[in-house]
Amino acid sequence: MIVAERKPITEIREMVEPHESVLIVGCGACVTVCMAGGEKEAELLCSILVLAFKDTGKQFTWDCVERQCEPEFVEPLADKIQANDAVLSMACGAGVQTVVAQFPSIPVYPALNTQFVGRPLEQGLWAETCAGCGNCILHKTGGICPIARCSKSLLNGPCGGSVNGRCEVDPENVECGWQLIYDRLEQAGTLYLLDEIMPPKDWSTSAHGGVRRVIREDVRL
Amino acid sequence: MGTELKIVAFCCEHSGSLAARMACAGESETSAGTEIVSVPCSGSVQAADILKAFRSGADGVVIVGCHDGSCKHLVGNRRVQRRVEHLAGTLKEIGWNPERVAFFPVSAVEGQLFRDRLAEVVDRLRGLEAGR
Amino acid sequence: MNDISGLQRVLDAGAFAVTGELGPPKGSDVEVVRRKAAHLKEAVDAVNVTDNQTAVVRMSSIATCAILREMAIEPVMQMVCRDRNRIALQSDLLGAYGLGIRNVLCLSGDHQRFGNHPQAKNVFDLDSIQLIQTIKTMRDESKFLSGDELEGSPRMFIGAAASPFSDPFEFRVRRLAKKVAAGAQFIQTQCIYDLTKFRTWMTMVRDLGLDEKTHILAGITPLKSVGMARYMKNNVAGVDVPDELIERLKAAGKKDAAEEGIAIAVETIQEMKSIDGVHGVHVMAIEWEERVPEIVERAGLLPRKRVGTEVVAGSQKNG
Repeated sequence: MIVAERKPITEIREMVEPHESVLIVGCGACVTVCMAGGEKEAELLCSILVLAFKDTGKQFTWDCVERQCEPEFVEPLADKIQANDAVLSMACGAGVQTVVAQFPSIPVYPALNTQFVGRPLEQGLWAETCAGCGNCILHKTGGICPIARCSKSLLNGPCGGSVNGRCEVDPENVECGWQLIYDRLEQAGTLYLLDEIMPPKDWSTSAHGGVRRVIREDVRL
Repeated sequence: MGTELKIVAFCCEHSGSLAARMACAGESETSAGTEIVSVPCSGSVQAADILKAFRSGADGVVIVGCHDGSCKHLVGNRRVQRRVEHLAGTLKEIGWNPERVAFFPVSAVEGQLFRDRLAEVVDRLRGLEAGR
Repeated sequence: MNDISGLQRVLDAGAFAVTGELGPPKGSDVEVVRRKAAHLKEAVDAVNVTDNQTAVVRMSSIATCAILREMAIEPVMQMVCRDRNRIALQSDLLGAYGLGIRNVLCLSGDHQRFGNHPQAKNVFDLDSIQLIQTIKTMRDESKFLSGDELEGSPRMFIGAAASPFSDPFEFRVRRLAKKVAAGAQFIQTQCIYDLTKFRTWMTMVRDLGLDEKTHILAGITPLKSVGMARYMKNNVAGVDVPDELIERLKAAGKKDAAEEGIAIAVETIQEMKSIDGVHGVHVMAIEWEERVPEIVERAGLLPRKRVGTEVVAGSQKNG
């Protein structure tokens, strides 16, 4: 899922400072799973801001929607939003921008720093696993993504910085993606796949290629 | 002479609540002004619960759980301590004194310990600047 | 103009090659380059110029190589994949050739986290193996990566690096085989201190017949102190310094540790001469260039015989 982290309170304070009434909106999807912007976090942030701005008269309320990236779920907030000076969105960047698109005349602030597509490894730890490159090759690398899990996104790795299965960029926290690929293919008896030279990647389907769209013609009129 | 300080004490029903009852039986002056909230495990106390207490006017919040290794839910007491540590940082960031929140462990029969710990908390709170 | 790399001529002639290395200045002072290069000129067949090594901004490799050419020194231009995409890499390759550079060492490049601009966006459009392939295609087929024809042909001698002791150890030689298959004609290894382990690696190299398809140059870095030895052992990926060597440096005492380090380097080079499949050494005495001539001489590798030479000013000399 999309993994995000709440911004430091100091930064959030600065954002809402100029406003008298702010509606905090959480999202029930990805940011709930990574404990950054779900109901619990929205309720908590609301209390934090109430206490931070104690005795200033500023009003803070909170709500949470199913998925903030879909207009159908954001639309019902209309009345609440109109009753406030600003919205503090606890969704990922897509959610924030959906609120902006839906309610263009009210300032909408991002309470989170959206980071990556990843998965939980243990409670409280989420790691990046997918780079959204637009041309998945997981079937060629034992199900381990070299773009997202190799610090240099090598396709013919590992580089010389792989030591004891760790990546020299951050050995404490980062495994060498290519060691993982090597281990998987060895287990599967398909190590010969690594003898082939993988040609240069077509990055045009990735974020490097420009602003992307996905279209399903069969569901459009 | 009671205290004007309002304290909310989230007490684990397996340890804290029982110790609190024992302590109250001895009519301690520190027990006046302290609201005991019984919870199934100290680990069930969320940061939002603590802040809610401050929003309703509490001067201090204590969480009373089991001793290390005795938690019936295994690590609930450890989880809430982590939460309190983290919350201390947040409180500092918004200009609130993190010393207003404390965790201390007791067993079900340590009524005196409960009284003593609570008294320490009250003392500490008295020394703090009012309001935040 | 003689199109073939001087380094290639030395290696093709079957001679034991010696290459050196030079780190460009963290500034605009060209004299720094000239000073370092002057030490190396008569001691080596070619001088590697690093490309923003460790992701620290320095004078560019291509420009520094051009300065070496002006000094009639054969450069090996190092090219990393970290900072430039395929458009810039191919472009710079053509430019390098135009400036008389004939050797290119293809590397992935240290991650920017190690350097002085950790906030930079990295590139890694290609990896080192794809870069080798790209240059080979430009040279042998006069084609860009896109398939478009390119006018002329950059006749580059293509090299790559090898890190015999990085992980996974069992895979390193197979990856080396990939580099060779992609077109790597010479290989410079990470600096070697553990000769036993290196001999094992060379056996694996020979088993795959790679010594017949590429020229292996063993990396040599003289140790200056016990501190340096420990640092390299613990902090540089793929470098293992045996305890015996650390003991030797310790025994020499602070004053003489550097001399002992030089002696060890000389011994290592002499060992390398006897290992089948090793066709030369690559001496990396960064910020210690002045000792390189002595190391090469004591290893019995001076004088360096030029196998045909040329000077960029246009005159030709045959040696």
